[in-house]
Amino acid sequence: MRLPDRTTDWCRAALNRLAGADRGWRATLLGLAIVLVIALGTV
Amino acid sequence: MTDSVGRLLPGLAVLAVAGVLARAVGGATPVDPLVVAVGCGVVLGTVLSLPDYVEPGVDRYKLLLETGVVLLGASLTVEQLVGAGPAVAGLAVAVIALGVGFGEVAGRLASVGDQTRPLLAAGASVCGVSAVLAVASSIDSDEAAVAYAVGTVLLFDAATLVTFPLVGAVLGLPDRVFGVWVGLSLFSTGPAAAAGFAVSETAGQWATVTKLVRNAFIGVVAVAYALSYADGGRTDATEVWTRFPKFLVGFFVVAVLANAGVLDAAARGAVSTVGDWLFTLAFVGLGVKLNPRGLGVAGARPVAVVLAHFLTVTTLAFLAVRALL
Repeated sequence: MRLPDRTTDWCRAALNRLAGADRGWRATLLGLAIVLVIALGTV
Repeated sequence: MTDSVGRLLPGLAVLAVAGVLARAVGGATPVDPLVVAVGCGVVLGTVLSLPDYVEPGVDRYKLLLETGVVLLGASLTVEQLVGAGPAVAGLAVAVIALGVGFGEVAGRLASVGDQTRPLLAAGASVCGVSAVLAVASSIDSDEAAVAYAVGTVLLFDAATLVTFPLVGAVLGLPDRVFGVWVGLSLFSTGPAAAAGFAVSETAGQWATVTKLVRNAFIGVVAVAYALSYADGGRTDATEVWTRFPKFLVGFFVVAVLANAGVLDAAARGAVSTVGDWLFTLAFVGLGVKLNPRGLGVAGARPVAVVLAHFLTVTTLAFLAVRALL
């Protein structure tokens, strides 16, 4: 399945924004992603 | 994005391999894995001189460090704070306030540098290495100051782990009194629990609970240091927010999620394990970036300040525990 161009553009923009974000925000998002994965994995 | 991830992989792989080695050595010997990790990093950075293409990944060690602090939020529980009772919670707050104040004043009197002093004050007063790392990221300390502070904390952890059970046996204190005293005095959770359980089950439980209450204030202390160091002559809210370490937002969000029931005990344990691994990998990176000569500059004075801090706090905590419990 191919995602609509607008979706991939949005994802690319979000990832670029994240890559350029303040290190503290990136740590926050990375930490929350880890917590989310663990929370879903232990349900 | 794909290119940048590809550029990070060699360095992250180096951190991972050295991190696995450090945890294996730490598990098989009495040496703390974090010390082994820093040692591995120093060897990689100075003896082996890593190729340039691993640098982008190794440079991400501060991101790993801050992510580890975010995950520490999962170990902060309101239940422990309430369950310990108002007397123990009050003593924990008093020990932190006294400890940070003493560390700052004595550190200034002994001319301990601005980079090292807050790390030692927080590490000795709140929760050892975790507090050192949280405050180091809050005030953007250099690698040598962090390594020195962590080394000092681990030195005291080892010494107090051995001496406290012996002192407890000599004093013959009631188990609850001894446990609370241990929880108020020792720097890190592991040694506090071990010293308590070495005397009795009850002492170990009280030592652990009291220590966890102290640990709960890591975020408050890190924010306080971040705000005081963000000043820099300007006190407007925008400047403070710009320099505020954003990972502390993550720390508090994770703490809220853990207390809201999103994470059960098993999930908290898993989050804590991932956090430990992130710290290990980050410490390898810290070792790579560390100039070992920088450690010698600090000298013995900061250790003497921490010793004075420890003796003062533990004596006052002993008197308070005897009077109140």
